[in-house]
Amino acid sequence: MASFVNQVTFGSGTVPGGGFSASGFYGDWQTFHIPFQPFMPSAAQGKIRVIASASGDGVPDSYHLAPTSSYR
Amino acid sequence: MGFTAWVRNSDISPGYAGLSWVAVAETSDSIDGKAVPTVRLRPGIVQPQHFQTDGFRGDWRRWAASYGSRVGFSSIPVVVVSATNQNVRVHVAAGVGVVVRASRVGFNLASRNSDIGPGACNFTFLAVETASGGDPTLFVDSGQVPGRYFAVENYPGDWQVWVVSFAEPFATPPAVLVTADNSNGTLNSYARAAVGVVFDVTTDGFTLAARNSDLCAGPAGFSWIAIGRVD
Repeated sequence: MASFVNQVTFGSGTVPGGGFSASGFYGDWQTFHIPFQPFMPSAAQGKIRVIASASGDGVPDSYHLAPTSSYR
Repeated sequence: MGFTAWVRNSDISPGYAGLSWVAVAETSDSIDGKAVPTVRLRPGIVQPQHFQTDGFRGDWRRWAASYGSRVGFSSIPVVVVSATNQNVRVHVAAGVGVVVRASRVGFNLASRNSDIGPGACNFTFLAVETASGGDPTLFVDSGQVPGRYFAVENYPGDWQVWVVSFAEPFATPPAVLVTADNSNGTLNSYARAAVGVVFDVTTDGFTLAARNSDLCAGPAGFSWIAIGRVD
């Protein structure tokens, strides 16, 4: 059953830009360690879904990238 | 409690990028005895654009998106985007979106085609602000699809497809966003940088197609959220 939006816990944030090498070169992967605290309840462990996409804020237009992301 | 985002540059040029994220847990549990914060949400979709092949002039496209006047964000929301085939009637390119200059009224979206072929792509967005006064008619569904093995990009098997059913039907097709994951650590390797594209959203579900943008073969699962109205 879908959950009423006010009965769902949301966390959100933006982490600042990191430097990437061109695809296929050392440094084309970067990692971001992101804490949920204090937004996500401990009872939700294992049931949290994360949607992430790139942000170009704080990065000059001519230098921003379109990286793909996954998380673990 | 948190997560580690692994982010890979699929671009042929070096540069910089940050990451915006939205986490969803379908529970209203309290945090330290306090009720969980409510949110103001704005899901939306832009119009599709055509992309040239990765590495050729025209592999980047840009949009200016508005949240509309009724939302009234009191601060700059976090905006995440996800590729979709909505209103695309040709080959769907595996576009990768970048949110630029998010503000209280809208944002710019830049996207680059990570695919070896030209095609069109569209984007769904979700703007989130932790604040009271959100739309009380919205409902959320969420889930994960199990990991699948992707071939190296440009080889047969670099696309994988899942069919997803919602827990119950929405009244109208919801906004659906996806991101690759490591299936809660159950993969036998680290997750590849697969680019998810949400296909054919209906009131009952959607098809998740994903393309490996990585130079290595390997597995990836996906997480998804759907936001819409149920009556």
